[in-house]
Amino acid sequence: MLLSKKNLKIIRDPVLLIPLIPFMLVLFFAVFAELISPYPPLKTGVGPALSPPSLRHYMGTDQIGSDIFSQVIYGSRTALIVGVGTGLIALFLALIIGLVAGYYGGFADNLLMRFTDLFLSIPIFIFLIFVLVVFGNSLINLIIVLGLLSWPIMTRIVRSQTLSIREREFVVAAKAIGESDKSIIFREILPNVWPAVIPAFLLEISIAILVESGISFIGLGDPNVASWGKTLAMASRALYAGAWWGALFPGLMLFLTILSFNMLGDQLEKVLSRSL
Amino acid sequence: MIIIMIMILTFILINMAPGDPAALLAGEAASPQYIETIRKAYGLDKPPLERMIIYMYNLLKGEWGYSIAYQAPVLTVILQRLPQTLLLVGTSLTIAIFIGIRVGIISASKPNSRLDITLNTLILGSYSLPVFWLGLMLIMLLSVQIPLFPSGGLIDVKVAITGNIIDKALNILWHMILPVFALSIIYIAIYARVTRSVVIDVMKSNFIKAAIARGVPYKRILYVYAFRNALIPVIAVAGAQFGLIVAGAVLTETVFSWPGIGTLLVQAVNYRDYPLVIGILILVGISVAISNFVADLLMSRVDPRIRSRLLG
Repeated sequence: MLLSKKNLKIIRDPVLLIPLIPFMLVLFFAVFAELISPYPPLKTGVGPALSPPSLRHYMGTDQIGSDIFSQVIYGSRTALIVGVGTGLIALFLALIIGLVAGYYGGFADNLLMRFTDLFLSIPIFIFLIFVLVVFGNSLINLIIVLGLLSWPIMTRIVRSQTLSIREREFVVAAKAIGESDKSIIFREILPNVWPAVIPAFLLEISIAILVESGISFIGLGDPNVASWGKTLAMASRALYAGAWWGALFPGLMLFLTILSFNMLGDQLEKVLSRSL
Repeated sequence: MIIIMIMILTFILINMAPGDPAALLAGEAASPQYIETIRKAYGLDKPPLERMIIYMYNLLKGEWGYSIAYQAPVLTVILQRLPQTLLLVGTSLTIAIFIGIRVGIISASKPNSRLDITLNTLILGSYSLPVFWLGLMLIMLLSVQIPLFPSGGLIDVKVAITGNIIDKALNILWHMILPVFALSIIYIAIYARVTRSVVIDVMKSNFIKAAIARGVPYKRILYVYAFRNALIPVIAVAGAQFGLIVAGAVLTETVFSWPGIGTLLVQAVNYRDYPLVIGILILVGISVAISNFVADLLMSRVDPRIRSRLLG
């Protein structure tokens, strides 16, 4: 259903493939970071301090002589791990809560949705800062906490989708022939929930990447990992010395990555909502 | 509700954290006597449930603890920084609501036209812009390369001491231009995105078709009929984006060294000033509650059906 012939035809439209380019680039960087990166990303003094882009340092160096190109490459890995990790945790919670709430309805639905609304109004960024300060700012903490905070939006989508599918003939038929609730939820409803959830999942990834870079930018990132936000924070202090390269390249990478996830999400939403 | 939940959550998290909560609240460089004082003050020698009630009671009384970095009560420190943040966020939000909703409607007026696609791409682009990077680029271009605007701060020291009130106001305004611009772009994108999708939805409904059939001018349909009905979801969704608004403000303040709550939070984090971090968290919780309340009020003004539900 998801990859039906009609959908593939729309996806083959070349304009829709543009956002895939930065996405592929980030994926390529993330997977082959060790092979591409010319220097260890966090090692200081691999070149002169604040040297502008050159053939030795494609994107220049920062004030402690680290190579910015290497940081951009390893930053891709961090961004993707955070984005996908957070997205998967949130997706898992959203599916469980949304399917149960939507399928059973009544009291369970009421209670779960109240709970979801409450979580929706937590200011994630500030709360995340607090948790990282108390429990330590490692990458794994960031992913877990961010995942545990970002499920509500997807949950609402899963629930409303489940509500409408529950009333369809094939579900009613499955009930009539005595299929169990569990089997109806997983075999009849779940496959039809994917098209609505996948765009939201992609948007969630882009939000997680944005949040991680923001957290790193204010100095709460994992000290052992390269991150675009961290490179940008370093560069913000070198800006007045005229060192534009440290701010331009990682930020551009971050912007393009988020943009590509958002565009993919938007386009998939258009395509998939047509196929429903 | 959200305030109570944040209080409970912070309480639980502080108690779950590795180490002694009294030491955590007292800060890293605290003397053993001070830790004892804190333990007594927060009633940390009592059972958990009683402790939680004492903790919440203290917060309600306005005793938010003592900031280690600033050597002053947390509430005093926060209240000193609050006006600057309100100035920055308030200005940007006002600009964003007017422009964002307008852009959203224009974009929705002819879905999938060239204008719509251009606007929508712009909206999506600004929506994906990391606000701190936008800030850095603005500083780089308009403050370092072409020195038109100051790169940060609220007011020049010289003006703050010698200038009269008009000079001061103008100087602050001049410092505000770049941060407000950066923040507005992000906020505009939020509002335009919501408005566009909601208006497109409303335009498909039957009463709009009926209005078109009756020969009501298209402009009037768009700005009166569709907009009025789109307003409720716009308020609701924009209210739910409060977290994004706060995050944007913190990062913008950091980039432009704007002396508000955001920079205060970052300093508190760097000093590991826990009482101050918690204080700011609770302040944000309160503002979420206020913004939800205001959103409810606004919605009830727009839609009488909600008003009767609120009263009844």
